[in-house]
Amino acid sequence: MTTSSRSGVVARLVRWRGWIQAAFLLVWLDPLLLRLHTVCSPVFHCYSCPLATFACPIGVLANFSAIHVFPFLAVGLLVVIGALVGSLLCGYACPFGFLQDLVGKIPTPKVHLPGWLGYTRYAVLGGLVLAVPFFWGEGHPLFFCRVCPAGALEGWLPNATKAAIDSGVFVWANPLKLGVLVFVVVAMFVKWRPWCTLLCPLGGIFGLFNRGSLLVLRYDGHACSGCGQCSRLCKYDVLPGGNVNNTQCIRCLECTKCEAIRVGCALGRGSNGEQCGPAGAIRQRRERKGSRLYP
Amino acid sequence: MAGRVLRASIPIVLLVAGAASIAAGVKFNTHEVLAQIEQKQSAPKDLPGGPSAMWMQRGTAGQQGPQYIATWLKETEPQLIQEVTVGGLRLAEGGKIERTYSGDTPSLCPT
Ligand code: SF4
Ligand code: SF4
Ligand code: SF4
Repeated sequence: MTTSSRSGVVARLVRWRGWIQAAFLLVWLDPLLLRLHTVCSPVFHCYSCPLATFACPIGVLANFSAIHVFPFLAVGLLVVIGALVGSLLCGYACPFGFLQDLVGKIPTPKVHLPGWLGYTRYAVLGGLVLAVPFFWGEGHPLFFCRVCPAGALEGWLPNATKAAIDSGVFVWANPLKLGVLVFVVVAMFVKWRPWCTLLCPLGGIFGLFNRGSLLVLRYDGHACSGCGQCSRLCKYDVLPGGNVNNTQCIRCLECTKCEAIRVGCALGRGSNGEQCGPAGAIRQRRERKGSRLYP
Repeated sequence: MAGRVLRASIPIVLLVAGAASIAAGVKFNTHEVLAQIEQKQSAPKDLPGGPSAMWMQRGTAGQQGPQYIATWLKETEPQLIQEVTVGGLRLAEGGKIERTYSGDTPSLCPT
């Protein structure tokens, strides 16, 4: 194990991550009742939520695909954010990621799944967000918003509850949407961030930028003793020692507690962490194989 | 060295491309949307392009109700974004974009 000597800023960011997520929550929950729905946010928060400051970028991509219009604004915003920090907003700003982190703190046994399952996010993005709306329109039962768990939790649940209080009639969401919501909520208890690591199309988009963003993680194979600490620090099934700028990484920066992994700038010197010291990834994988369950 | 320059240039190129995309969205991405706009006065006898087809009378014949006229509106991308947040747009026959509602904007997306 290597001792930590991280820069003070990163160490403080990691220590205060929960509070930073909570502060961002205030931004997305429209405390000033501005309802700026002409602008996309860079996080996964449903615009049907009675408290949503901005429009959801995934809802916008899906709906624009359905009307065959290229969403220059939404794409531009995601590219700019991705080019600057990769998936850092997943780790520090997204309310749906924060919710999963909070539920994950409930001490139930957590399973680890192979990282390659994260590629299903691209199937969701290509299929339900882009192709289904493009070819079959917004009325199709697999149109992404019709199955989205954030839409169910943040849009349907509060609005149906309010309608039930006003009119006495509770309107249920469609069974598929309810099923996905129940699945994701149950999964939050047994896996860290199941939605983010397996299914979220927005996390998939940001993950694509991890290798090409200004903010990068650097892995120093020479400082790595192969102790596997970084893999244990990563709750989200990324193997930081193998490829620290992985598309699966949500940039929580927890693994930077090991001094072999540092936050850097793509314009500066040093590797982007694609390579791994001989003691690194191979030994970590071997170790991970033997422990599928985390306490 | 070449690798480092390439690695450093990727985020710069992406930033420029992203900023250009945002500028294009704000400035140029305008689309025509077919909307049913409420009309205060009664329907004119003659409208170019088929008067009766252009007018809709809400309610049964003879009843007084709001009247709607089918109008092509030019909407910018921010306006389109606002419309889709309430499920307000769909693709009509012939590839045209039309509003799913007439009169007041719905408050919620139906999905
Ligand atoms: S239903 Fe999901 S994808 Fe659609 S707008 Fe809401 S959060 Fe975004
Ligand atoms: S992966 Fe999706 S839900 Fe998770 S933090 Fe990122 S944008 Fe939010
Ligand atoms: S690799 Fe590091 S920064 Fe990425 S999710 Fe794992 S612990 Fe967080």
